[in-house]
Amino acid sequence: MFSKLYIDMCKKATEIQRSWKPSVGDFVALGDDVSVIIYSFRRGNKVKYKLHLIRDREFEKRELIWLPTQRQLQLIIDSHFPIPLDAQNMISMLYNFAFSNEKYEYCTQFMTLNELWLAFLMDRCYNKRWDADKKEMGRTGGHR
Amino acid sequence: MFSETYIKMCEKAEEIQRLWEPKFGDFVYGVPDANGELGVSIVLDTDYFDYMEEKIIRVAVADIGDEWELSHEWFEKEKLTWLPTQHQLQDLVSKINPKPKFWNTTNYLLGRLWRFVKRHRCRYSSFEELWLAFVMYKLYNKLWNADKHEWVDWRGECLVSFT
Repeated sequence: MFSKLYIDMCKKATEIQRSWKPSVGDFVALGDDVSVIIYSFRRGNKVKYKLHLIRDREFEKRELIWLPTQRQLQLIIDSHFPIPLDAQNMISMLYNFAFSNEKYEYCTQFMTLNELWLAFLMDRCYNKRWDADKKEMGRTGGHR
Repeated sequence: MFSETYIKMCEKAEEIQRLWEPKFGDFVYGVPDANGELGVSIVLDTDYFDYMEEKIIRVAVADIGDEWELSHEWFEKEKLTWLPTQHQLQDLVSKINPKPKFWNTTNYLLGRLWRFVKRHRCRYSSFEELWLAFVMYKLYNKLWNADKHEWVDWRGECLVSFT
């Protein structure tokens, strides 16, 4: 469902993790395992989450790595533009990103569209690129 | 989360529904809420039951409509409509219609989708609708007729699809 590379990229996409407002049905990583939030509740002043198949523990947001679906990534991208984008506008932007002379080589490392959408989001909205050697999101130097 | 149009497109895409092998994390439509209204749920578990010499797949689903409530019930597969995610639609088209050698999978899919959008001048309100339309076209030569709310055989004419 989610590649190892995608999980690694999500871990290091701190802007995305910080912006996450968890809800039931969200996919999350615990290490390399993928689970889904099935229940959320408030205990004291903290919100806790129950995950599928992990009955004996409650989790807090900071323990979980959010794995956004493509739809969720597209909504984040859309929120960075002053006017709503339709699917055709967005596919055009992604196509131009993946097939541009400057980024073509960089994009060939991404083997799923989850990875490519996240790479596009981080580049377009936060000027960051995935560094496969260091396994982190590094600054692009401000160029798009 | 999923548009009404997309749910309708999935209900009518019988070919896609037949391909569905329920598993954890799948999104489905057809589970009634407390008011009896159907909503979107997520598959948590699957199991097989023998019934009248037929194997019936039952699916445990959790309601994702309300952040603070959990329901966990068993449903027969046939009572539910599978709502494939974009990733699952991409997997479907990749498995059945694999990329040529030497192509990067992502670039190949993106390039084909882009050509599809340009060729058919498609206007879909969500990516799920667009990907499903692309899959139905590539695998079954069908396009969505937004007026009739049904999949129609594509006979070579350039249909403009607005949803």
